Formats: sequence, C-alpha cells, structure tokens
Amino acid sequence: MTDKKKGIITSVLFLAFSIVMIIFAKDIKPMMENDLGSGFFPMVVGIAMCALSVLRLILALREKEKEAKKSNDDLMGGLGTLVLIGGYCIAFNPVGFIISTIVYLFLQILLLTPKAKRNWLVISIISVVTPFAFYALFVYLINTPLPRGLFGF
Amino acid sequence: MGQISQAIHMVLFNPFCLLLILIGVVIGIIFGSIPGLSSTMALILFLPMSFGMDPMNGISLLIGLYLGGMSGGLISAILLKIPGTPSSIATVFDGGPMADKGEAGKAIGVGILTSFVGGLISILALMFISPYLAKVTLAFTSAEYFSIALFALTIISSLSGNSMVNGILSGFLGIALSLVGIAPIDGAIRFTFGESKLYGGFNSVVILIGIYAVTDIIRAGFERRDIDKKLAKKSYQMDSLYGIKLGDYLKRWVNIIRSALIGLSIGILPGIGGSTASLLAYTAAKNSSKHPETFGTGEVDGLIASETSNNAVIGGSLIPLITMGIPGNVATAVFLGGLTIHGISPGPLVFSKSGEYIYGIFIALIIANIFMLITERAGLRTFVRLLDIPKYYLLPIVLVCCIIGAYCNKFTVFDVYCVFIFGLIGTLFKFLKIPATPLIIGFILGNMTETNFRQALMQTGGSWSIFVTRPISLIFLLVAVFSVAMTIRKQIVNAKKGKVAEEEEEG
Repeated sequence: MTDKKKGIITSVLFLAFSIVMIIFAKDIKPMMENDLGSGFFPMVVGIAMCALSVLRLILALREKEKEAKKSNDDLMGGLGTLVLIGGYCIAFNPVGFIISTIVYLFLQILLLTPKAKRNWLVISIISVVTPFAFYALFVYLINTPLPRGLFGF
Repeated sequence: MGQISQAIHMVLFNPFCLLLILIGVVIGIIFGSIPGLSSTMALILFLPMSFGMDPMNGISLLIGLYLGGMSGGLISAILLKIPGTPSSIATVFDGGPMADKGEAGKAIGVGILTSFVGGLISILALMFISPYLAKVTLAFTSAEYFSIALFALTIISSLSGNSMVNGILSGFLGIALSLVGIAPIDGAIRFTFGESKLYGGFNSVVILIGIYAVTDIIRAGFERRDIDKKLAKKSYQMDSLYGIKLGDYLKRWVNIIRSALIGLSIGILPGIGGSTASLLAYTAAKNSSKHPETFGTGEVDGLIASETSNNAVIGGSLIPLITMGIPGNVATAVFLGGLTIHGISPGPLVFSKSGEYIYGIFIALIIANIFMLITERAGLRTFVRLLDIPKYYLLPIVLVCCIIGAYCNKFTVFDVYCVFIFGLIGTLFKFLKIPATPLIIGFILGNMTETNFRQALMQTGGSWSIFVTRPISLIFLLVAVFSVAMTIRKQIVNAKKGKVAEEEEEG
C-alpha cells in the first residue's frame, strides 16, 4: 500500500474517532459552579483532533502516488498470530491458565518456526513445561492466583 | 537523616533487595542485548510482579531492569551491528567498525566502562538536583503544573520523526484514552459506554503491555520469514579487564563529561529519550574532534559518546519523575506505575512524605550501576551466547508473560481483552506508520493537564490570565510555543528539501 493511501486511512480513522468524541462530549454538562465541566476538555481534544485529521487528509491528498515498495509481510504468519493471541485471551479464564497456555504456546511456536527447524520434541517440552513453571512461580512463590479453569488446576 | 539511614537499611543491608537488583540487572542486560526484545518490555513484564513485593524490593527490581536494559544494547550493537535497544543506535557507528578491525573485545569493554561512568554522573546529578528542584516545585500551583504538562505534550511533536501530524494525532488519542472513566473534580462518568469496568479508566500498564510488547509479537508473526535469519556474529577477544588503560580512558574526559551532560539534559526533557541523546552526543563528539574523519571507522571517542550519554539519560529522566511526577519516557512511565501502586506519589512533597523510598531509589541506582559494571563484564560470554536463542521460542513465552502481567494487574479478564485490543491498535499504528510513544505520553499527561487546568480556573473564578501572569507558568508556555514553532519550521525545511531532492531525481 502506498504512503498516500495510508495517510488517507489514518485521517479518516481519526476523523471518525474525533466526531464520535465531540458528539459524546457535547452532552457532558458542568455540574459545579466555577468549573468548566468535564465536557470541556474532551471537546477541546475532539475539535483539535478533528482539525488535525482534516489537515492530515489534505496533506495525504496532495502527496504524489509513489510506487509502493512490495511488502514483505507474511500474511499467514501475521493473521495467524493475531487469531492465536485473540483466542488465547478469550480462553484464558474459562479454560484456565495451564491448558490454554499449553495449546497457545504449541501452536504459536509451530507457526513461527520455519518448517526445516521444527523439532516436535522441543516444541512439546517448551509448551508443557513453561505454563507449569509460571503457575508454580506465580501461585506458590508470589501468591498470585491464576485462572484455574475447567479442571480445577 | 532518619530517612537516609532507613533507606540504607532497606536496600544496602537487605540481601533480598540486593539479590533483586542483581536479577534485575542481569535480566535487563539480556532483554537489552537481544534485538527484538526491549528493555522496556522487560520493565513492563516485571512491573506486575513487583506489585506483590515490599515497595523497596519491587522498585529496586525495576531499577535493576532499567539500568541493565540501557546498557545491554551495546553487546549486539557491537557484535551484530544491530542495536539491541534504540538507544544504542550510535554505538553501532563506531562499535561495528571496531569489531570489523578485530577490536570487538575492546569496544565492549570500553562500552561497559563508559556506561557505568555515564550512569554514575547522572545518578549523582539526580541526587543533588532533585531535592532542590522539589523545594522549588513546592511553590508550584495548578497553573504551573498545567503549563509544564502542556510543554511536555508539545515535546511529543518533536519526537514524532518524519510525520509530525501523525505523532500529534497519536498524542491526542492518548489524551482521549485518559479521559475514559470517572472525571476529576466533579466525578462525571465519561466514555464508559455503560461498562462499569471502565469507571476507573484504562490502566497504563495494560496500554503499555498491549502497545509495546503484544504489538512486537504480532509483528514478528508478519515477519516470520526473517525470524531465523542468521546474524553474522563477530568474535571477540578480551585482552584486559575493560579493554582500555584507565589513563587512556580518562584522557578523554572532555568527551565523557560532555556526553554525560547531553544525556542528562535530554533525560530531563520529557519525551525525547536515549536514542536522541546518543545521536546528539555522537555528533557533538565528532564535530569537536580534531580528527572527525576517523568517526565511523572505529573511533573509540564515538563509542564513548554514545554509551556515556544513553546511560546518563537514566538519572536525568528520573528528575522530573521524582520531583513532579512527570515521566519523560516509556521506561519512567512504567516506573511511575510501580511507585504509585505502592502508595508513593512523586511530586514536591515526596521527600517529606516518602523520603526513605526516594533515598532508597538513589542507593539502589548506585548499586545497580556497580552490578552492571561487574556482571556485564563477568557474564559477557553467557550474554553473547544468549543471542543465539531462537526468537520463535522466546517470543511466544514473552507473550504468555504479557497476558499474566495484564491479568495480575487487577485480576480481571477485562484487562486481558484490553491488552489484546491495544496490541491490535499498536499493529495498526505500525502499519500506518504512526508513532506509538506520543500515545503513551499523552495518556499519562492527559489527566494531569486536565485536572490542573480546571483547578487553576476554579481558583481564579474562570479567568484564564492566571496562566500568563504567573512567571514560571508563562515561561513554560513560551517554551512550549517555541518548541512547536521550531518543529513546524524543521518540518517545512525538510519538506522543501524533500521536494528539491524529488525534482532532482526526476530531472
């Protein structure tokens, strides 16, 4: 994607955000005498952001469209990581720390490791030992509970 | 005096505290030296762990991490020609060529030694400046605090790199995020969208973990083709303890002092950070050298300038944090979180209210600095070997630490979701080339700016003139205007240069 397109996306996102902010800030009324109220500052920030996003849009539109450098991004790796982290966050509490971490670590390491380097034994050992080690460290050593989840551990 | 002896008792005569400083320094060096892991990440990951400890122990651990992390970057900067942390960028310029010439051992030795000296000078400055500055800030009212916070926010624009507008937008988003929850002064509930977990607002730890650590791991996924790239590691040979004769080192005292002062002042100014300090000190050393042409070819003075100044940032950055509660960079923002959770609120009264902890911090800093000097040299072989740990094992484990850290903050899964969402925002920012540091600074200063602004106006019954009639407030506002003007000017000059270059290219 060219820098120009990125600039346009940036300005539109911030513009939308600032408009929502202004709409909500409008309804916050001052409650005390002598005070500007809790709506004033959000309003100032919203308007400033709005003005800046318009400026950003103008700058972006004036930019020349340059040949974009071909992105070297690995979409499978990136989106896969996103899905794994998202899934891990959702499963963290209901499934419990140990099981969700084993599954996450195993899949994430598998995803990041180049095919030629995949050593199933090492990956399995890391994915199983790490959560137990962390669990022991936090729950028994620092007295910090972690989610127990489905099976009570 | 009672406070000082109490501080000595809590740190110096407390083996557990000393052990934590040592652990912090070693882990800091490891995180600092491995490219892809940052010292900020180390601080963020260990912050939740420090919550459960005695205040002094927890803070000492963070101090060790901060100091170790600042220095660890030089190992990979010299051996791999990749700065382990952004602040060791300038170390690559001469450290790399020195390694090419077979002087890697000398480069690392000098780097460690001069890191120690730079750190020490700045810590001493911190110890002598901050009590006096705290006395001065006692006279500050809301008007001054507002102006200082505003000044700090304008500095954001100067650190936004090539895209100033993107940086300011990022800063505003940070301020906007700080507005979520119960408002100061009148307690109005803002932008919570009915979610009661947002009443307390977002937590800075959660934002830090998301935007810095989680984003980096998601990026590693996008860049997984390069994850295993073999880095050509230079071999090194240590001839003497620190690779340089003490006399030969001290001969360069002008450079050492100048670089330390540059680091110190950059550290005091909010929002600039170690990488700028090391680049500035490097340029200053080069410009004042009798033989500037040797810079970039393995000049010891260049290495000294870079490593002295980036460690001098440490003491400098703690000055506004301790005396006014203003964090200058991400590391001190984490630090602020560590202090407040233990009930130590930095500000003018901190010396009378929690003086024993502040003196404890000074002692811990000096000890950490000494530990860094010894362990980085003694454990060099191990640190160098750790550079080989595959990142595809390391990063997923770091992510697990991130999630634990977010969860342990308040023991709610809500924070875990937030960390993921901020990771997404950080990834989007990277994609759109929007800098993330302004967001953090904006988030932390947003609340301070608003509260003091409204308080000042309440005191005057709504008259805005208070901000320009109080001299210190006026000075900071003027400096803020000046810094904005300078940044805009620089931007325009750069734009013109860019245009000329483009036309030349086309012609």
